[in-house]
Amino acid sequence: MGLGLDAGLDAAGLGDVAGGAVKCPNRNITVLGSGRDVANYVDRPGFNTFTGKGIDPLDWNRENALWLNRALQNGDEFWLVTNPTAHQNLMTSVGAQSAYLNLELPMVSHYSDSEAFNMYLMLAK
Amino acid sequence: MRDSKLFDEAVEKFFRPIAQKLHLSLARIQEGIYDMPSRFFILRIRLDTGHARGLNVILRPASWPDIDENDPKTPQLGIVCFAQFYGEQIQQTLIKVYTDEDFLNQTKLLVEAVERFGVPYLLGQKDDFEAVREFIKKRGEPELQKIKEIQRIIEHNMPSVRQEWIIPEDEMPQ
Repeated sequence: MGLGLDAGLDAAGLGDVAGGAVKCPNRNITVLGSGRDVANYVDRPGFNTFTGKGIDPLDWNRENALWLNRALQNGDEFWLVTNPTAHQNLMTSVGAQSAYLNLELPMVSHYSDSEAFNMYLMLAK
Repeated sequence: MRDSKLFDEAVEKFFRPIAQKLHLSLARIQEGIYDMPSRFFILRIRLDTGHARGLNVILRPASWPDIDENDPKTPQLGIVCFAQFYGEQIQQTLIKVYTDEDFLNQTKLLVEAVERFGVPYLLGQKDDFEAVREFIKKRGEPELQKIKEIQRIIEHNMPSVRQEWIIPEDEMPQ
């Protein structure tokens, strides 16, 4: 499944640059961060969060990735509510792992850095 | 909270005997968190609230009784860090917890690690905590640089992404 370029440009706030109107009127604010910080946004109208509730732990990473992919395709606005650098320091010191750092942020970065995205940006300029 | 009951049972079964052996208290601070304090260090046993099921065992100096455990400035180290400092790899990270049995097995491994690496600190027999912190900080530098690069790419390519760790209340959609 490919990522929707128009939706991605909207997510990046570049819909107007590309000459397009907002194409995703139902977009949410997708919130990424540590479990504790994201908890403040769970079940708030207009916010899209992944909690893993009701999902088999075996499927968490896959479902998390699918959820984020849908948000990117939907052109959601993104809020990062946990400082990645500080959180990495914390994870290192306590010897723990974070899906925010190891899965979500790399996905967003990869998406934003895709060749097609950059080519479209150059054309838009 | 997920696994809260199982966590309580695991702490009672596996950590209570260590506390009794060392004549230390073991107090439930809040749901998912226990502290075992000595005069020298405090051992925190914490239910993992992230994606992974399981628990974390963390040491901090007794001079830091009340902490924000999510504050990176807090001097705290996971028990796995001490194993790494002494050139060993405990198997905690190799155990993926999918079942209650996995959870208990991980708890057992962590208790063994506490007995080997944590007890000397609790008894005041070690004074190299800062050296371990420095070692772990250096060891984590490549991952930190990777995260900084990811952050830089997102900032550059998706400037609309709000990198706000605290969203002002008056900007919160109702």
